[in-house]
Amino acid sequence: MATSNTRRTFVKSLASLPLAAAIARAQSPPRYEILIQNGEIRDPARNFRQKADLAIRDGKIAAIEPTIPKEQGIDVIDAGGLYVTPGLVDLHAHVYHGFSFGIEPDPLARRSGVTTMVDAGTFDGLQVDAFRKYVVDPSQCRIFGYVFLYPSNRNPDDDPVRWARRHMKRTGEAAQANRDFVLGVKYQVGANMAGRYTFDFLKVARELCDEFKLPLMLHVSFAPPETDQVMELLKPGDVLTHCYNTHTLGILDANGKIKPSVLAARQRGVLFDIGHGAGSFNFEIARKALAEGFLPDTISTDVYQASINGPVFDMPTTMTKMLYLGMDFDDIVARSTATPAKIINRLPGMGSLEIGAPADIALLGIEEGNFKLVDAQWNEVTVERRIVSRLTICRGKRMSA
Amino acid sequence: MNPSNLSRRTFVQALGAAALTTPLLGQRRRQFHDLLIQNGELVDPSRNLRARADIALRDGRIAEIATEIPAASAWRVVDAKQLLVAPGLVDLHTHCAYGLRNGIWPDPIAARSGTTTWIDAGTFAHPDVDGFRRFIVERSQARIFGFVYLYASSRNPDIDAVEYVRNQLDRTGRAAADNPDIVLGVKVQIGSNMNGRHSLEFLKLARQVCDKYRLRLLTHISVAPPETDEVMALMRPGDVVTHCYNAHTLGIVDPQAGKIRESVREARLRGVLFDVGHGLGSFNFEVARKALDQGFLPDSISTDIYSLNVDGPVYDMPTTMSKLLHLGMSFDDVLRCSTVNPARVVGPVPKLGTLQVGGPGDLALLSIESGEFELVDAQNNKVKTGRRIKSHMTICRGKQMAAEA
Repeated sequence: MATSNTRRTFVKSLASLPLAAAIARAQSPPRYEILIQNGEIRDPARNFRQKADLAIRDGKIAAIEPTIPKEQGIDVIDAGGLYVTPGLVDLHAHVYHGFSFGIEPDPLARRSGVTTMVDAGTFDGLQVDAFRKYVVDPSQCRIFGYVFLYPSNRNPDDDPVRWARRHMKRTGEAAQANRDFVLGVKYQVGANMAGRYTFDFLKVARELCDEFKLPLMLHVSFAPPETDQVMELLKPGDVLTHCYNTHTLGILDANGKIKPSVLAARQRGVLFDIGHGAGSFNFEIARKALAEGFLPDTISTDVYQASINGPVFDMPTTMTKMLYLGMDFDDIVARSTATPAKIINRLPGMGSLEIGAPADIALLGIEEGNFKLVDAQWNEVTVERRIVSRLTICRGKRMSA
Repeated sequence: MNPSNLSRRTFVQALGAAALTTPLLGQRRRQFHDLLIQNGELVDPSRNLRARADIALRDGRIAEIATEIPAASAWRVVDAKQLLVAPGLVDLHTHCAYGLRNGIWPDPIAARSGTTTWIDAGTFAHPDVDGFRRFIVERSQARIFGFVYLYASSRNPDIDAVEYVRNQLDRTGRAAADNPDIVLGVKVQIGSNMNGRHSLEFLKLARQVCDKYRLRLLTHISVAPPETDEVMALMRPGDVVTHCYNAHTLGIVDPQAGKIRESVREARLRGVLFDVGHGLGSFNFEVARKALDQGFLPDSISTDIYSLNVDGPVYDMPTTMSKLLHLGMSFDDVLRCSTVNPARVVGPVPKLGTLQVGGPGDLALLSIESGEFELVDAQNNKVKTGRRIKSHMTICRGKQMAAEA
């Protein structure tokens, strides 16, 4: 090892000479495809928060150090004044574009810091292969999904519950055969969704999820059924979405308190997701819930054709609403990255910025000014800070237009 | 700049000048056909053509038809000795909107079956037209068109069905009217098994939207009520009735008399078209035989192919055509019903379904095989036949379709 030591000493002594160091650097090729300098790194998954440089190689996070010289990067990004966070994970989106009311994921992802989108049941059990072919495979953004409980039916004279039951096996098998991107089953419970059949459908969903060991993602809107009846059917790992809706099937009782059945559900491991959407997020409800200490497990948009141009717009806008309601920025980031990534649980390191994690990164800023926000009932508030996305990096590459 | 570089450039320039003055390479190259099919028997029922001739394709179109075209004139030559060279088959009733309902991906089946044009019969509805275009039409080598279904199906079974459909009529009409290059009209499935007691109401709504937007209506018929006469009364010239040889109660043959119903004959007289649309349940040897015996041939032969019948009883166009050959139709009639007749329903492509210079370079290389073959109808009735139609090569847009496409 003597020679190696000598060489190291020699190199060190060289490096101490500024000119020689510059030459040495100029001659060694850059090590990192992307180098993000001067950013404020926030990685809620491991409570990491400090100003540092972050480097990306081979689609993975390769280094986080106080300073990484710019010569080591090919694409050097100055993130001065910005937060460097894990790419945002939107647990409730509708991205089966072309077929259905979904939107195309990449254009939205690139402008909003989102690197992972979960389709909340825009596709059904007959469409799983096509969803992979048309959406999952060609997107730069990472796509997962919950398969809808039953395919829609053209025949209004069929017995609807028998129809759903007839498709249980096919839906469950399609989910199991595609576990790499199918996370579970989606159902929409609410009198407005399927009238007098909706509770029976929910029971079919429960049965299907139990039989195939799949989590359920459940939309809630209008009673009947009542919240207590619904909570009873939710199990640990299930996700209830639209948790801050202002409809009759909600988490609050008449006195503005969290219903005991909801608290019990949370305690046993049921997760509560925002799923803003065109009708399902209300400032007043959210404010009351937060006052009770009932934070959302995950912040998500429920973005689709009828909500993307307002009131939803995107993840940063939805996150800004929670900032306005008093949640802490780091906590908001955690519930928009690490927590949904853990629910997805398909890719090690996703939703964090640890070394070796997939290089899915959002460069976020907090803008000051006067900004208007609206909830799903178009109640307006004016805020002075908003979260904006400045750059989205997914799979180690800038998302480009 | 170094001298060796300079001299190379000068040399290249000199070459260019030579090419200009003696247009040897460039010109000759442009005269080559992309593909030449030699020694085949050309059959084109659109002009009663049946002749041994060569046919050459260039830039996706038919460039030349002649008794002899020299092999040296084409980049690639195919020997079609003992084969029939027909226009690419046109399947008027398919479900190729893969990703919706039971749709299948068209190209692999197109490649093995000579079927170069597929018309999706309403697998998609108005919210799906963009996806139909982007995912299916634009990504397939086969030519894809479609009829948009009358309404997008609902996830909510607890709403008034007729009101629900009525509310969507304009969206459906516009989806067709705004996409005339791919959407040929509106599809509706009529039968008590399809929409129960609402069936006739739905048909009236379909009539309404087709009249308002001047669209062709493609009507599936299966189980009464409504009755055949009620349905026929709502069909106009250019509309298509599919599943015409079904064995159900909403059919063209009066089961008591065994005769073609008067309302059906009248409909045909005024220009309503009748399509086979075999499918999983809609083609019966007995019904077809009775109709053919009375001279009621189909206007078009089609498969109604989808994921649940592609592995039987439908398989593909040649199999469906073989069934009508077996029932006594002449090969020329069978081919006419599988090429030029359905092609007439496809407005946007001139000369589709024919073999004419300047027309689309879509060809099916077919043969009529002799042997012992079994055919089954949708009710699993089996017949033995001594001849079947076989596809040997599919050429679409001037290029051979690869089996693994």
